[in-house]
Amino acid sequence: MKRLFFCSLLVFALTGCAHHYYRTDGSTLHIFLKAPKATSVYFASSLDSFVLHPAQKTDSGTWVISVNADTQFSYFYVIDGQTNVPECTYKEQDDFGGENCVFIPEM
Amino acid sequence: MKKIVSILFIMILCSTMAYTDEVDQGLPKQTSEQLKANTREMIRLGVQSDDAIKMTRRMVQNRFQVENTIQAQKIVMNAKKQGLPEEPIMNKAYEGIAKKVQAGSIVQAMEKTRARYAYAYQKAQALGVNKEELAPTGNIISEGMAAGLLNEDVDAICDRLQTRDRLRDKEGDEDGTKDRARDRERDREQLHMLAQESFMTVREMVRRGVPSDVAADAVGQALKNNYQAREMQQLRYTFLHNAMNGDPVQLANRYANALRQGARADDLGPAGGQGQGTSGPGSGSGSPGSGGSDSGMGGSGSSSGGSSSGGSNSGMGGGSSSGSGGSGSGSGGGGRK
Repeated sequence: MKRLFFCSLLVFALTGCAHHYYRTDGSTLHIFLKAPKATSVYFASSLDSFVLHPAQKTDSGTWVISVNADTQFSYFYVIDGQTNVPECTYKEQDDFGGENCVFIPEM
Repeated sequence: MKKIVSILFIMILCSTMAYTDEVDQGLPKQTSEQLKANTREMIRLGVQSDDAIKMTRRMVQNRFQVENTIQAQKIVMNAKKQGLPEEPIMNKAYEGIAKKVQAGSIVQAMEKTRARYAYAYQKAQALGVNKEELAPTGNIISEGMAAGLLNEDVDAICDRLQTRDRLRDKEGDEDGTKDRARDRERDREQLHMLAQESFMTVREMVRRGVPSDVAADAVGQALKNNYQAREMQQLRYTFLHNAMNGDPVQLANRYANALRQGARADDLGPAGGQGQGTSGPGSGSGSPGSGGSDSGMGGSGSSSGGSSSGGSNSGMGGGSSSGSGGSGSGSGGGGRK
């Protein structure tokens, strides 16, 4: 029973917690962010001078934004008015004491 | 009489409009004359008029103090005079505005960005990079520095590259039968490619959270082992691929140690990158209800940037993929902007 509990916990830890991921569809990159409690999510990136774009809410509290996937860029979110940099593989410092995520196209 | 007044009014209006330029038209009415004059000066120095106007406009709209905007304009003008790209500096301003950072801090960050590019371009120039390659090489170095690569580690890699260059020259001198001019040109080209690959490798390592000195050590050892551009690229692909299944810092340390023992890129494990997700964000869990091509970015709460599994790999590779070691490594053209 104990083992089953720990196995379940491990499976949950490995599959249930990711809150930021992407999907590529040709040259389009769909970036997903799980923020079920958020009322507004904006996405800003170096692709277009950090203009704030509203993300679209899908079911289960996931927000999605679609951008061009053929070049590297840095980005962050603004969730309910607060800057948010989710866990991401590649990061850079932002010169304001924080960080940005960096997207690098697949090689 | 009415007609004459109307005609006169239209004439005055037209003449006034003729004297307003794109700067007057593009900036808000309340913009000070000094800011307008500086915007014109930016354009005269070669900044695209749309860009110069856009930056000033956004600062005015966001209620920057005139002094801060003047400072920001001067930073952009200095960059232009130094032959540095103005786009990343202006982007820093827009990033700060989007993050609601105070104007003074934005100006400081813009200057920091300019200084970083100045340093990076100076280093690229010292490597003997030609005019066409100066910007790409300088940008790669600067992006690495933005990710956390320290000046002294940039210096260390540059020193190593220059040592390689000098050794090559010496070999060329000893071999008197060669066409020296042609060989020198070819060597220079190879050195530029190697410099770019080296700094891309260290940039990606630092972006993955590897400390600057560890990343520079690994790349420095590879250069000491006489790696060429292609092998350096393979080293990068191998690192990125294997870092998906393990701790990037441990992996970089292991690479540095192996390279110290003289390891070649083939010895470091499968490169796996060409075409299948080397850059794929962390292994945190790519599964949340998405299709097969999804890549998880989340690190399930850990701070290690998406490396929730693995970590205890004993070999150099550490990856779960099998098969080709990817000795070719040439395809994919990875990572270049």
